[in-house]
Amino acid sequence: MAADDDYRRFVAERYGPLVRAAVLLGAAPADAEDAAQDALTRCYVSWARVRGADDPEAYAYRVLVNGLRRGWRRRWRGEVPHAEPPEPAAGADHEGASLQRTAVQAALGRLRPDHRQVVVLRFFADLSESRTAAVLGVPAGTVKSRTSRALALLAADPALAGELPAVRKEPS
Amino acid sequence: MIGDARADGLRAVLHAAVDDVSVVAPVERIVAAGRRRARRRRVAQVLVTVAVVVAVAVLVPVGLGIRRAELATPPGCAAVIAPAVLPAWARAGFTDPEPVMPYVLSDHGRIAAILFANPPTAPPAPDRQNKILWVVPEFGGTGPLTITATLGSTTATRTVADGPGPSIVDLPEPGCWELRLEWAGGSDTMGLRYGP
Repeated sequence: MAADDDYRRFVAERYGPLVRAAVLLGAAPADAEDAAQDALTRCYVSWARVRGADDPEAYAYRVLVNGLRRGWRRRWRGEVPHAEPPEPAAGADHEGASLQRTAVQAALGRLRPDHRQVVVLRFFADLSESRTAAVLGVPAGTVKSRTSRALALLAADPALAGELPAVRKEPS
Repeated sequence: MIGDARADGLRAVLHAAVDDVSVVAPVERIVAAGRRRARRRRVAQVLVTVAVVVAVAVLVPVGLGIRRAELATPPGCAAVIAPAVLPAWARAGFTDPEPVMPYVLSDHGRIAAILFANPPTAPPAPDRQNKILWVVPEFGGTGPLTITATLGSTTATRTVADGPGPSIVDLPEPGCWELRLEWAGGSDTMGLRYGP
């Protein structure tokens, strides 16, 4: 079925970004997979509408954010998403990445949830202000002000010292 | 601009922070789960539809039934009153121990009108009087039986001087008359049809 093929392609393309976005939004990796799967499953039910929408990607993010916002974690009723868990990357690189993730999560965790959502949608999902506004159901101006505030807070966060160019002191 | 650099830096940091989150999209599992969810939703929609249809099918007739009951024709306004065995308290004077006569019981069962003309007519038939025997379960008083008959805007009052008992009751026109009956010790109402 053409619709199912379209949907499969959509899942294959969007699953990874949705899981990673969920991690950045504060979900544990396993919960992030559940949340992404739940969001995509919901998209299947409304696939005709999603496919016909101007922005299926934004729709999926909206479902994801709403699911996480409700604090509802999709359970797979005993099903395991993978037969075997993916092998972790080995060695120092993995350690470094984990440290960086911890630092970023710590900094994001100090933001208000609505600021965190804006940061993830704008700078990880690369959604424009208007698309982010559509996902969150707020005016674009609100997205703009939240973005500005969140960027300032992150730039000042010691966990990200040296990570963001703006952390450098501006000439007085 | 510092803002742009900050945004670019943040993009890089965010992507780097989750680059090691290794995921393989379980596409077929998600498709299967989506199908199950869609099926559940369809079933739920069908169940809701069925529930609504059942509710309508049950409640509307019940509502209509109540209304129908409210609007039901009074027993005494039937075209012809079917003869039936009189109540035990209304059999005095009949030779048959279980007399069968056309009769109308008042709305609260306090008085019976035993009809000797079925139905009574307005005007009265030349060969048959509108004889009605009024019977109450217990009548120990004295005084008349007053009948106030109403049909639309027409009201007629008839009096049976000795109280419930035999009477000739003629009314001005045919129709389903609403009778208010008052006697010493009681009152009641009934509908009674007078044929043409």
